[in-house]
This record gives sequence, structure tokens and C-alpha cells, in this order.
Amino acid sequence: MYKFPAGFYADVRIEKVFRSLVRIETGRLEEVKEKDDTGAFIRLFDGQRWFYASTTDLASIDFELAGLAKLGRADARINEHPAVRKMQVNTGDHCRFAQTSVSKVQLPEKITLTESFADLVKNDGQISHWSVSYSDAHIIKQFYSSLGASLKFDTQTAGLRLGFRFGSGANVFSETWCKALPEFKPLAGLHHEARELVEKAREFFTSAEKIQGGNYTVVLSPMAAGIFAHESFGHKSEADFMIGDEGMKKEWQLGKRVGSELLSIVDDGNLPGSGFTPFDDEGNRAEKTVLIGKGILRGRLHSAATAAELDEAATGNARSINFEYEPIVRMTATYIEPGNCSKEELIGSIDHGILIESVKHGSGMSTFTLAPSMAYLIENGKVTRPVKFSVITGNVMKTLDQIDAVSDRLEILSFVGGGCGKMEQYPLPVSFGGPYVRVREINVQ
Amino acid sequence: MREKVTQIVKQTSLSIVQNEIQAVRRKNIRKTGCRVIADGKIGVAGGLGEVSAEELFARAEKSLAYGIDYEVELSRNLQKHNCLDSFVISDAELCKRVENILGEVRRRHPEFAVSNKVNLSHIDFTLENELNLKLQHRDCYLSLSFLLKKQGSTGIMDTFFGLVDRRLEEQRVIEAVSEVINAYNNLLPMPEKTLPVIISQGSLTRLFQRDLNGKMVGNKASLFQNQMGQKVFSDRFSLEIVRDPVETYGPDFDMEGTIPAEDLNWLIKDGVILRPYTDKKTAHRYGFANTGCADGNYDSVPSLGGANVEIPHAGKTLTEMLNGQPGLMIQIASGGDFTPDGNFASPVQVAYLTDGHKLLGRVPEFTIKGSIFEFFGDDFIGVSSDKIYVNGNDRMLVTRLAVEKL
Repeated sequence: MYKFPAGFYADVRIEKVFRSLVRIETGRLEEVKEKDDTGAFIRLFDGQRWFYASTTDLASIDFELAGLAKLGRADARINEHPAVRKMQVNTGDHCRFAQTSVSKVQLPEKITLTESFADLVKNDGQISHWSVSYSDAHIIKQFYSSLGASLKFDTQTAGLRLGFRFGSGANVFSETWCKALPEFKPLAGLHHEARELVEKAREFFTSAEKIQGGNYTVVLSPMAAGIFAHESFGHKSEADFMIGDEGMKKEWQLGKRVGSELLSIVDDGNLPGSGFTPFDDEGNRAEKTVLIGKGILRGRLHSAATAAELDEAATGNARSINFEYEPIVRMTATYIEPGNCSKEELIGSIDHGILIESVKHGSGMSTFTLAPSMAYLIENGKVTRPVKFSVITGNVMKTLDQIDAVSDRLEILSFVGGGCGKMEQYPLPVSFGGPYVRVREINVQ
Repeated sequence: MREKVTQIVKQTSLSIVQNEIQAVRRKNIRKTGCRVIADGKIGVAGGLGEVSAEELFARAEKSLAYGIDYEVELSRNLQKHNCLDSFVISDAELCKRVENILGEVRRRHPEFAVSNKVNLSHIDFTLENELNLKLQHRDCYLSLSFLLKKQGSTGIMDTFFGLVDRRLEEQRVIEAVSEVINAYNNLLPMPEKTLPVIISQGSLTRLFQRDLNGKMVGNKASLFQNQMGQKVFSDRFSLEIVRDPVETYGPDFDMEGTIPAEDLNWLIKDGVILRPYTDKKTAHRYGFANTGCADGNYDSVPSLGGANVEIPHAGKTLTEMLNGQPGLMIQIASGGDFTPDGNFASPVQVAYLTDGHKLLGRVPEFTIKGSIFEFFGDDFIGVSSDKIYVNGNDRMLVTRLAVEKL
């Protein structure tokens, strides 16, 4: 065991990371890579300040711990510090992907799978540019703390990303199909799903028309609803933004109404997929955290330090992108909970509106935006024709209040080849989703 | 033939919460990537820490079997060492000076909290091969990123000050943060008159990243497909790839060791689209000139990434370009995008009115819209010759865009 210096809280996180990547672009194999890295992140806390080091030399961990201790001031009562008291002492081996590890799948098999998805687009005369990539990661983490935590767990994703562009000149349209699963084998059954999206995109390319800007009733697909939940409210639920700000604490008091009573938003690191985080990077167990329950602010996401500061329970949301960075408060799998009506009922009562099916990107501060990829006009309760515009935008809090219908089927989406960014830490794998969500009065530009 | 990439990053990072240094992080990470090129194919392998290059070369050689095409001429007979690492400061001194800045900002503006990061980074990057190529880039710089949040506001942040520099000018940083906060506190009505928009270049040049990409043009998938060699934009508008390590905080060579001839840096000159940006493979495949834009991780097959582009200035300062009228300087515009046919729209969360010298006050949130063929065409005003310290110490783009109240 490591020599944790007396008078400090300290922990060590060791990450053993297997990754592989295959990329084919417009018919040519461009990259095949497989790597196995190990590194450690070391934290030490003296009650006033944190000190961190990261290293690839696992033999130097005790040396690093001793070096960090020299920067701080020992405190015999450190374990009584509120932040330290929020650190759980979890133990045991919780690995679940040892048998199905993507490291056991040979690269030629991964290349063959990637080629089979390339076959979907490679001889398509309307597609001018395309690429398909397979990527996977099996990350085994060990966590040890001066409190006695001794934990081993793993996460895994394997996924495909197929990007394609129709057309040329000013008449172009790009779309991406992307999916991640916890294991390699089931990826082989997804060709139908990818092909369906290619055909839907082709129809969009050939027939989408510009639409007049203005205010519309908008239906968000599970993807659009998930991005909206993540960008517009999820980031505001990360409690590190509230630290030391009494005004913010008052404004975001639990129990306050923040949206329509049809709206519930949840973050849960236990869900399989790219947000799966059974324990966070300070050894705390993932919780299912209700952020908004029926329109009422019910919870927020915490590290041990923010939980101590706000005197709330830790939620297992202290995450880092890799062993070079400290854990900060991040989302895992964030989604809007389903409601009672069917998708058809939800759309059926709209005279004139827009359905946003896929989204290129989104952002959310006081004002949110979603940049749609494929969107459709709704006329007299029916989805009629594809339409194009730059973005939808609106005030976040007003929009949360204008949700007036939520469909009954939840879809959680997982991805490879990107993730969530917060300050210097990008990309962090997350997943998001929801049902179909109807919002009155969104500005379309 | 063998090539080796070595990247060493030593960094001290200060985490700031509520105007105080809450954490100090140190890292020292070495990454090594090895490439083997034979018979028009390439194999790669990489590792972290003290790894055996021979072992990596053996793995790279083995991966030649996957048959990845790499029919390019390797860079050769060039030795270059850029050393920009003269900025020396101990961690203790860095903490003390950052604490001074944070303390003074708190004293002046107790209603605002500063958070986020100050990073001191030492970069040592080397690309070498068996053909007498050894290119090295060493740098040491400071990145300040201050999120500024007014007590009681419900957002994650209200305004921002950020900077990358090879020195720490405490007083200048304090004055700039003060200017930003004072302007933020002075909410002005949106002027009725249409004003020039002052915005970071990258916000509006990013469409070129996609549509002047050599693969996009080579595959006839670019928005500018039928306009190569034609005058499309204002004759005062040019776009060049910038490589000066002093300005870019990066190496002047790409991941294939290319430092192209000066004239190949021009992608657009006097409004005429000259060429797409490329790496060796793309240039060879589609018959374009190689503009030296190979990118990739230390252990990747070099591939076409983005181009570090800039619009050259015409010698006029921001004040001179505004010509006595105020302009709308955009500080935070998050969530905007281009449509495939080149129309841009974005909400603007934070913008200031400026006369080119000072920030005069904040204006309410609004939306900007325009077509790339217009804001770099007839509506294009220019790029400032002076760097605007309060807005990232960058040369700012000035153009006309439709401004609509939210």
C-alpha cells in the first residue's frame, strides 16, 4: 500500500487504459491504432488547499505523495474536515468487463466491422465525402485513499461513427450516425439503423427547404431533448459553480419551481453507455440524482468538496477526462424522464410547428441554442416536409416552463469520438437522452 | 524509414475559486510516437513515460501489415530549433503574483468573483527522422482564464477575461479585468443605429476550416467548389495560414515536418480563393500544393487537420477603423452556426460598446446574422492592426452583420 503522509487526506487513482481506433475515409484505410497506457493521479489535501500530481511512473507514487506533503501543512484533525467526511471508503473489485474486454478482440475483426459500415456509403453517387471510424476504450481504475478506500472498477465503450456529406457547392448537407455500446459484438447488428439514417438524410438533402424565422411550437427528439437537458440545465446543476456564492445558493434553493410540472431531469452514472461511471474519480459511488422533479428543483451534482460546502450528499459526479487531470463536478448520463402521451398524440395537436430530429451541437448559458441537422415542418398534426434553418434559441428558464407535453418512451444515446467539455477538460464521455418533448414558443432563426 | 515524435509537457496549474487558489497541480508527461514508413505504407505506435523507442518502432513496423497508404516524400535535411522558453517563474512566485492579482480584483470589485485556471506550460516538441530531419519547438507560456461572476447572478458566469502570454503583467491584467467588470456593470440600451460588429476572427472564419479542407475540395464536396480561382470576397479580404511560433504558441512545422514556401500560406488573396489547405497525402492524392497542415496526435498517422488561419490587417488600428463611431465588441457568442450555404447566425450573450480605446458599457443580449459572402464581401471592414488586450490580446475582425434584439 502507498505511504500516505500523516496529517493529510490523500488518494491515488491509477488508470490502465486500452484503446483502439480504425478509420476509413472515402474508401481508404487511414488509421489503425491500438494502445495500452497506464498513469496515476495523486491528490493531497491539508484542509486549506489541494495539491495534485500526475505521473506515468507508477513506481514514483510514494515519492510524489511525499513531495506534495511538503507543499502543505499537516493537520492532525484532517479526517474531520467536512470535505474529507464526504469521501466514501469503498472497497472491492467491481470490474464487469473483464470477460468482454475490447482488448481481447483482434484488430482485423475491428477493421472488418468498420469496412462493413463503409460499404453502406462507399459507392453512393450522391455522397461526395464520407468517413467511418470504429473506436473503443476499456479503462480499469484503481483507487486508494488515506481513509482506507481500496477499489477497482472498469468502464467500457465500443462504437462507430459514420459521417457523410451529400452534394457539392452551396447545395451540401452533412449528417453523422454515431452509436456506442458497452461491448463489441452487438455493433455488428447496427447496419440497418445506420442505413436508415443515410436514407433519411438523403431525403432531407434532396427536399429540405428554408423556413421563415419566427416563433414556433417545437418538438424535440430524444437526441435534441437530451442535448437541451445537458447544455441548458445539466451544467447549471454542477455545484462547483455555486461555491462561495450566497446569492447563487439562495437563487438555486432546493424546492424552488424551475420548470413545467411535466419536466423531470435526472443524472445517473449507473446507466450502461458512455456516461457509465459506477464510482467517481474520488471513489464515491454513483447515485441516481433527480435534478428537477415535476418542475421542482430537487438536487444537484456534487463532488465531496461541493457536497460539504452546501451540506448535501455527495452524488458520485467528480470526474476527470484522464489521469492527467483532477476530478471536477461533471455529468454522467443525463436525461429527461418520460411522460404519459404517445409521440403521435404529442405531434397530433400541433397546427403549425417544427420537429427537430437531429442536432449538430447545442449550448446553454442564460440563453440556449440548438443547431439542428434534420428538422421537419409539422402541419395540422402531421410531420409533412423537411425544413432547414440555423438555430433555435431561447431563454433557458422560460423554455423549461414552456414544456407542455412529454412522450412516454425514453431513449438514452451513447457516443464515441467526442464528449462534454468543461473548462480545460475535454472530451469527457457522457450520455444523454429523453422522450419527445414539446415546447411552446421557441424562436427559430 | 523511421520517424519519431517526442512531446514533453510540464505544467503547473492553479485552480481558482472565489478569488483564491484552491489547488495546485503539477504534471510532467512525456509522450513518444514512432512511425515506420516502407513501400508506400505507414505503421505507427506510441507510449507514455520512459518507453523504449526500439520497442515502439518494432510495433510500428508490425502495424505496416494493415496496409495504410502513405505514398509521400518524407521531409529531409532540415534542422530547426525554436526556443521561446525564456519566461522563467517559480511555482511559489507564480502563486504569489496570481494571488496579488486576485486580491486586488477583489478589493476593487467585491461584488465579482474570479474563478477557473492559470496554467504555466513548458512545451518541448520534437519531430525527427532518419533523413537528417530534426525540428524542435520549445515554449513556455502562461494561460489565464478568469470567469467573472457577479454575486447573486444565476448564471455560471457573467463575463470573462482570458489571455495567453509569455509574461505576467500583473498591473495590466488587473486594469483589463477592471475595465471588463466596469463595462459589464454599465448596462446601456442597444443603440438604434446599425453599428460595426467587432468579433474574434475564428468565429467567422471557421467555415473555411470545413470548406477549404483539401479533402472536401478534392472530393468536390466544398461550398466553394465552383469558385476556386475566382474572386468571391472583398478585394480587401485575404486569408493566410499563420506559422510564426511567437504569435501562434505552436511550432512552425506541421506533423509531417513541412514548412512550406511563403506564397503557399495564402488560401485567399485579395478576395480570390487560391487553394485549399492540405497535408502531404491530400496534396498528392488530389494534385494540390502541400500547405503543411498535417495534424494528429503524437502516435497517429499524420492526417489533415485544421489550418491556423488569420485575416491579415491593413495597418489600421481598431479606433481608426471605427472612424469616430462606436462598435459592438462581442465577447461571448455561444451556440452559433453556419448553414451549408454559408449563412451564419448566433446569439450574443455578452457584448460591449467600444470606441476602439475603451469599453464604454454593456449592451443587452442580441442575435447576429449574415452571409459569409457578404461579411467578407461588401460588408467587410477589416482587421485591427492593434491587439485588443481586454478581448484575449487578439487582432479583432470588424464587419457588418445584421443585429437583432432578442
